[in-house]
Amino acid sequence: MMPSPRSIFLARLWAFLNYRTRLGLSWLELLTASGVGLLLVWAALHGWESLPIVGPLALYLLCAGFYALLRVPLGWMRALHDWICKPLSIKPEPWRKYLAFTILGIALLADLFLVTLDRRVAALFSLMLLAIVILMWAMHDRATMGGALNLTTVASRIPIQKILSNGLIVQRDGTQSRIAIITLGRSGYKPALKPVDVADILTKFLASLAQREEGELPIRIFWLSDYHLGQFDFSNNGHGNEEYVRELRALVESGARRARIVMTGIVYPIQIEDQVREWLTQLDFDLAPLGAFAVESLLRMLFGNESFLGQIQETTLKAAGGLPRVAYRGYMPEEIEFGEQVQTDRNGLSVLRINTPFHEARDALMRALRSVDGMLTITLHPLPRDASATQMRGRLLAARVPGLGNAREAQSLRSTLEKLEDRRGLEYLFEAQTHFVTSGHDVAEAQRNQNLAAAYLTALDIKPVTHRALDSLENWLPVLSVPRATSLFTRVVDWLALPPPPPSQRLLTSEAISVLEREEGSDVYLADARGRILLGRSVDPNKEGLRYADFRSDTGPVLLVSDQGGGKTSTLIVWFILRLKLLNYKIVAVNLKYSTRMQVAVERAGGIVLHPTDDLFDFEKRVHDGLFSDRAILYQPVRGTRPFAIADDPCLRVFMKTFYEAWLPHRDAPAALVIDEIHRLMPKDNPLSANASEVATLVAETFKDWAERKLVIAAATQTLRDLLGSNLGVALQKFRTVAYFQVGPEDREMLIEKGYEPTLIDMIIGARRRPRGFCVLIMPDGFYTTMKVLVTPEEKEIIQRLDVEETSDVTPQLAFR
Amino acid sequence: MMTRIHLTRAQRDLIAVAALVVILVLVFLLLGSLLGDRVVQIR
Repeated sequence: MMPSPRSIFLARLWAFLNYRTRLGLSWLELLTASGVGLLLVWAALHGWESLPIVGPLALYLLCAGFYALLRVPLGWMRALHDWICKPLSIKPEPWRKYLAFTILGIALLADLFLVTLDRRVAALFSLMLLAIVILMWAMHDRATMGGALNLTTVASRIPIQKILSNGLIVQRDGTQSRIAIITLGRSGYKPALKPVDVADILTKFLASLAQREEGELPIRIFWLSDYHLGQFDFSNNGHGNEEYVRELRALVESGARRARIVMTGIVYPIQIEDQVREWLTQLDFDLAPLGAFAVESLLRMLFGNESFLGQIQETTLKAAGGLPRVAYRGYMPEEIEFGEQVQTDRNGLSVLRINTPFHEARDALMRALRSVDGMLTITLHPLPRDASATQMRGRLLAARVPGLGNAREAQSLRSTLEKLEDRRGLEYLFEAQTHFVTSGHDVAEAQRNQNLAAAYLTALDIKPVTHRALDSLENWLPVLSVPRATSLFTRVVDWLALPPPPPSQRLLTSEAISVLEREEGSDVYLADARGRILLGRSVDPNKEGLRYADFRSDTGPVLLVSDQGGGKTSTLIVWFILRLKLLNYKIVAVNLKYSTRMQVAVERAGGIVLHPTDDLFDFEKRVHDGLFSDRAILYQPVRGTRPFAIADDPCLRVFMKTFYEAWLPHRDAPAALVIDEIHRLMPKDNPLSANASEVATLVAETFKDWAERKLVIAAATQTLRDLLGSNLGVALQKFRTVAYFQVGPEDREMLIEKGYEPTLIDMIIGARRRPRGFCVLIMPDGFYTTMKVLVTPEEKEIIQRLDVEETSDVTPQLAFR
Repeated sequence: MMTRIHLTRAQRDLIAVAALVVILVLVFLLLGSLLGDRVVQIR
């Protein structure tokens, strides 16, 4: 709908009148003051005859003209109301009710006293009293949501009415919004977006937020720092294998002590869920909406200082891979107190308001967040384009008045206006509020975090939010209220009764897009929640922290490729044998070399190790029993005991045959087939024996059956080229997923053929000898990073001890030499 | 038996604004009358 010329004129006039001139008064105040002065002069010239009309009129005009100053007495009333009804330290205090009655009683007594002096003055006083009572009732009505809230309970201060079982948050005003973690979905298979494309996509998205017909909607983006493993404190209450829990705990202690990660999240009203999802996909991000349990965990983290990821991880481990759909744990703290900081019984939160425009403050804020426990939130509220441009025109006019306006401001307003009114530019104005929250479970820690953050923020204009201002949790918590169109009277009463909105910055679209244009995506997937498992820690700059391998029960065969010392076997052990066992996978491992590292790992995991023997019948029986048990099972050749090359051993054939023919059709649990040195099934130089050929066929058939059987298969080999040239290659080409670990320069051609980006290829094969344990990992979704494979000290020792043996390990090892 | 009347927020606010307006008018009149007395005194 096009606004009428009259409404445009009035909007501009109003903006002009509200411009604060260099005299310190706005135009409205200046004009009112002079008008009232003239009125009084006129009355005086007429012998004050008209004073009964002119006097009150002058007073009312002054009140109207200086309406902004009315906030001061209204603020006093609100302070009185809050002091009586809304204590900063929340505990039941019945005496406050009596206090209110006492104050009212004193006022009535004063009124009675006035009656004895002058009845009209007393009446005036009573009317004032009545007005104050009405205003305070309106304030109370707003604060208690129409009497629904008991302000002396903690629940009334937390701006969440309830969390629905699908994770939607219902605010007090009925608005429904959702929290989602933004995860990196960047693909290695297609070229990365150029900055200009990112800016373009974000511009369109932000414009679409402002252009909605039902009214513009805000979004809130937050970055939250958490520790992944440092607080990995799961109590072992009889669930799962104690040994594994111990194993994982040891892993935690050695590998990733207090690895800080930063998650990126977004809060949006449900109306725009599809829009947000579509836009993020274009930016190569994914959206992981939080369910009820996760939302509650997030709030427990903020109010209770329990690691968000820790809670999820712990619950997943206890519940064998899933999160409860509904959580009745309660996210409310027992006590809450608003002073210099929000102090709950278990956590203290200090809140800073950042007044520097976000695009200038971003770097400092992000650096600060990476070094402290805390959260950074920014709320973007788009303003309608036409209305904000009209308003700005009015301000510009006032700013250009010589002597009273500000020439520099006029210049900046003019340049903003030019961008705003360029129809092709998609520029909008956004109201942005930025808050930086630091936390600590005790005073010392909170202070340390705060000081550390302050050290990064010295160049910014910051203001600590304390006491009463802190009581508005909805300004920085990951919740979002969408103001709805209300009646004129409600808006009048809102203006009188609600506290003035906190100061905000006005950003143009081009400035607001800095919120996400450089976002790398969240460092974590909510992995365990969806059956993914922890592989290692990313060491790439800006990707520090831990990564989850997107490895699910239906991922498909995974092939690990690297040269010697690349960490294939370590990964197989850590990743598949230990971690998957933890997730109750059935592990079937085949080791095609004499190194006993896998044996050690399987034995540690309480598994069965089968060595080839001469008695094939007995061996088959043991394989059968082992496969149908719950324990991990490993085929492990022993040097010097068999007159065959490893692949030619009939025991291997029996093992695979039993696996494929007897066990596989009856499999009922998630399982992993782990084969180390799979290329030995296909020797390059000598012809394939009948035995090895049969084993290779069984493995290839298992791969083919993948889709139906949902079996996880891992294979490791020397070089990719050897493998692709072998008869296994046919089956391997069907791999949906291949993770490459540090391959050699000779594989460059093949990587180019497969369509990887040049930068990624350089990363994979650039360093021929990377330090042991580091590798480039490409995930099934195309995500890639340099990883440090996490191992326990014991695993490390085993790996080191067996190094020599490993390198001297040659395929045809015949006994009776 | 007393029945509680439930008003919507808009209705409550309408009543509040109406009451405030009435108060403002009354204050206007009272102030005027008080000032009128002052005028008489000045003369």
